[in-house]
Amino acid sequence: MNKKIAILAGLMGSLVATAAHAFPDRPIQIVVPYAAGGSTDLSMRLLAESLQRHIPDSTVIIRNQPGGGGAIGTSAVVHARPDGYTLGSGAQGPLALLPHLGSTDYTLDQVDFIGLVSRSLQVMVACKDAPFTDFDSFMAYAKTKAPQIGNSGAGGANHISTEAFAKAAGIKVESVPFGGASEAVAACAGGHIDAMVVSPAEALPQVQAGAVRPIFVEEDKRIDLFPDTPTAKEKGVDFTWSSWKGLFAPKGIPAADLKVLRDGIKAAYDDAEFQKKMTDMGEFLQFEDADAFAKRAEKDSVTAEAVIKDLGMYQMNKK
Amino acid sequence: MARPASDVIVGCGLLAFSAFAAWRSLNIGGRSIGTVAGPSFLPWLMIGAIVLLSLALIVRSRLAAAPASAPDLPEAEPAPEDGSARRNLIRIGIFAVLLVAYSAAFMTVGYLISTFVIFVVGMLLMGERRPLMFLVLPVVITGAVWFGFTHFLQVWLP
Amino acid sequence: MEYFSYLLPLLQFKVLWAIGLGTLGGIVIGALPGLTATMGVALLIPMTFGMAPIMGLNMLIGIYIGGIYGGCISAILLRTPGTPASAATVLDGYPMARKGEAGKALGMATIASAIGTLFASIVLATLAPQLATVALKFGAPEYFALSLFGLTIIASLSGDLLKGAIAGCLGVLISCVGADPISGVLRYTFGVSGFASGFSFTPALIGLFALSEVFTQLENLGRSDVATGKVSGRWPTGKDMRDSANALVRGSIIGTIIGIIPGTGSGTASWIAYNEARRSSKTPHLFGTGHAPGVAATESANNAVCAGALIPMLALGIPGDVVTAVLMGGLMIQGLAPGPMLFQTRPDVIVGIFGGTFVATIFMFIFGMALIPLASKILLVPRRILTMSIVVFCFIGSFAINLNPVDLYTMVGFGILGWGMQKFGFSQAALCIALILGPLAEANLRRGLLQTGDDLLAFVSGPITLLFLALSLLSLALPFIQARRARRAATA
Repeated sequence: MNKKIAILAGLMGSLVATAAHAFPDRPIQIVVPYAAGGSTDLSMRLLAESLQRHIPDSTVIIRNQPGGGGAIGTSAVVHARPDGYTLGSGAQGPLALLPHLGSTDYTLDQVDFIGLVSRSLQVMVACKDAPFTDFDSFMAYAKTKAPQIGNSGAGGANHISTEAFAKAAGIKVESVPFGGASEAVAACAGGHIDAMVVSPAEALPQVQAGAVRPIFVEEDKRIDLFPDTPTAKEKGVDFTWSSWKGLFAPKGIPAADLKVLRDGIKAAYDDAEFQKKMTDMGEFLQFEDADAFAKRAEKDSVTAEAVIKDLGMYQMNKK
Repeated sequence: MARPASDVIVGCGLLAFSAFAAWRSLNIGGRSIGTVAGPSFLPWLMIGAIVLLSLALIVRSRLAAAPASAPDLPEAEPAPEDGSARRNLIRIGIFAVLLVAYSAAFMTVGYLISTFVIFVVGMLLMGERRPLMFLVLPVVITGAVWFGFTHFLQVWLP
Repeated sequence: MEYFSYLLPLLQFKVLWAIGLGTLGGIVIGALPGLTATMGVALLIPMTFGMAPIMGLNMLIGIYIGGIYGGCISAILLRTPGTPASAATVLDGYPMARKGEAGKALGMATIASAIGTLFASIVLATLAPQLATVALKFGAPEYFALSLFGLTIIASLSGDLLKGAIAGCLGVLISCVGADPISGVLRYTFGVSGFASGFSFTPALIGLFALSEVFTQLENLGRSDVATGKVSGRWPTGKDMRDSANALVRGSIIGTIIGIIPGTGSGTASWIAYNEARRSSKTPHLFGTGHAPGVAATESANNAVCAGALIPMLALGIPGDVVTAVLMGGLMIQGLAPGPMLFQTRPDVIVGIFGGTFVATIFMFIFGMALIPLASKILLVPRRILTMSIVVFCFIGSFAINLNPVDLYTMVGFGILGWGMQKFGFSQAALCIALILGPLAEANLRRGLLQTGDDLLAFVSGPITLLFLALSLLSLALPFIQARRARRAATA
């Protein structure tokens, strides 16, 4: 019996060894843990198209596995066979946040990062008829009364980051959860909430229409789309936040294959057509290799953990 | 309103279900922030409503049963050929179990094999006895559906 | 008239080809359960990267319109709602098919869909900016009142009021499974991570309507009430059209309005339209037995939602439903941010989209009518094969929507539940309505309470809220009034 297993293992080993040179010899699947059509999904489709051009002989397809705020699809990747053919779209919510709520069957330690291709920047906007119009009046108002700040889902990145800002700025906010970003934007443009955090691309048409006003940017530096809007940092609140669009894999992929993928994503990122389409879509392009991406994830995870503990939501779904 | 007896049974079943749901509702964690209506607010409301409505259902059927008594029954079951009705009920039971098994096999065994097996067994269950019908056609349909979905519609099947 | 010159690009052969192809593809995707218009649009967006905006976007709109229409084909023929929007079409469409009027039912559905889309498109082209502001008036109390009104439909649709109410409460309770919309806490998931978002809606509907019917057919096996394989002609008679005129008008208007309100969608619209058509009909008892106006109401409403939902998306940059949210992604990729500015900076795109919805509607009508004889052939397939094929499609459809194996159990579970409900006289429609509106009602009730600090007064103030509350009361009281009137008429 033992002998058989040894032979089998040897055989598998040699198979893996030969396969390593041929990687990839069948389609690579990128699991997007959200429904088709969202900004993460579209970015990943663009990335898949570009990867296909830059990893020789490869086919890259997108598999949407939505549900549970991204936890279902992400879990499927973490527990997939680590052969390099099942990759995940590395999203902040399911990887850095949800494990702290106790609703996932994985943790951040169980993944290997491949690379980050873009970040979704965050802008806080004052909604229609809000009692404040810029950073200073916002802070002054927040000292007297907790502003109602909409987010795209309870326990999601949008919610936790707002609470994290409140913590950093030493103010109180009242988070009002909605079922998705577009519902929250509708409520904001209609003046049913005071403020919310959106991506610059989503904010732009509403700002142009005069329905909402940008208050501050959650970045180190001001951004091109809103050059007149200050950052939280220059106003004295040490807070930055952005969510990620990148790739990760389950731990344990053969090193050679992992290298193919990591080199591939770099080449795919440098592709001019990819960059143009991503920019058109309002994405903020930035490449980070696996190590930098992992560090970013770790940092966000630590920030989120502290906030989630403060909110009393830590491990609330642990059974 | 034709079947007072079955209504009583259904009502009791709903009460039992409510008790179960109530027990599970006690386990809902989390606090409500700044409002009386927490995560278990609506579930409790609904459980309460179902209990009241089920009691009303039971009472109504008892009241209806009292004056009208039994003769209602045959009208409810239009074809009281007991034998075939029971056989069909058993068949439904088997079919339900089969579908649960299919659900389990869909991911683990894969689409092609599990679908073929379920198709053949299903045909046999419905009384198909011609091998051409219950063997060849399932192969064709299973294969064609698989091809169409994976190749034209880009749906990933295990 | 530069306005009209913007329409010229639509007449190019390749643009017409793209719209036609999109519409046809949409019909096929819509007819297959589990493949929704949303998925179709999302899958095709990458294809439109290289196309001119007019061509790419109108192709996507073709898929959208075709997809919502296509759902009625399987709903009528197989009692399998191809998309959730067509669930209400099952009520009268399937009985019509059983009576041998499948062709007529499909024809009526096609005509109704075309009328609904055309009506909403005209509204879109003429009044979009003015009407779009309605979308912004809806806060938590307004949404809650609207969903409450929707839920009161159960009272008049369920036949047996008591059992209907039970089914409704059960539906709301079932819709509570999964993450709580306000606090994010998981409810009733029993530790199964696949249920973190609750029971998926599409698999639940497929189980409730399609699989339960499979069980019912098994139960009736050996009895001789075989559904007729006969398929009537595809054109409804003049009388059918006259009977349905009222339903068509109401369906189109209701669909357009619901379409404008973000976050509601075609499922809600078709149920409300069905109920309204029935309520205002001279022969309400015929609804549910295979009555053409029933199909006319639901199909005109759900297709009117398509163009209706485009109104806030184009005019405000706020998508009216899930599909338009995806469509908005398609616009953004082209570097076009929808919103009031787009009307000024790129009128050619806006007018092109207006024109495109008309073209897509015409294609939908032609393809729909041409496909009817072909589609109805499905009914000639031997019963056993058809039944097993439906089972297989139920499974693939339930799986394809989220690729979540847990959804398969959901579907089977709802199939058994649906069969049981049918057997004991509980209304499946009531459960379905509760599943659609329960989450909307809960999220907005609690969001409103959170925002106002438990002030119930907010829920009974404001003109829109009061309007819907009044409609709710009316809708609850009406069955009693009608019953009393009927009784009086009977005794007199």
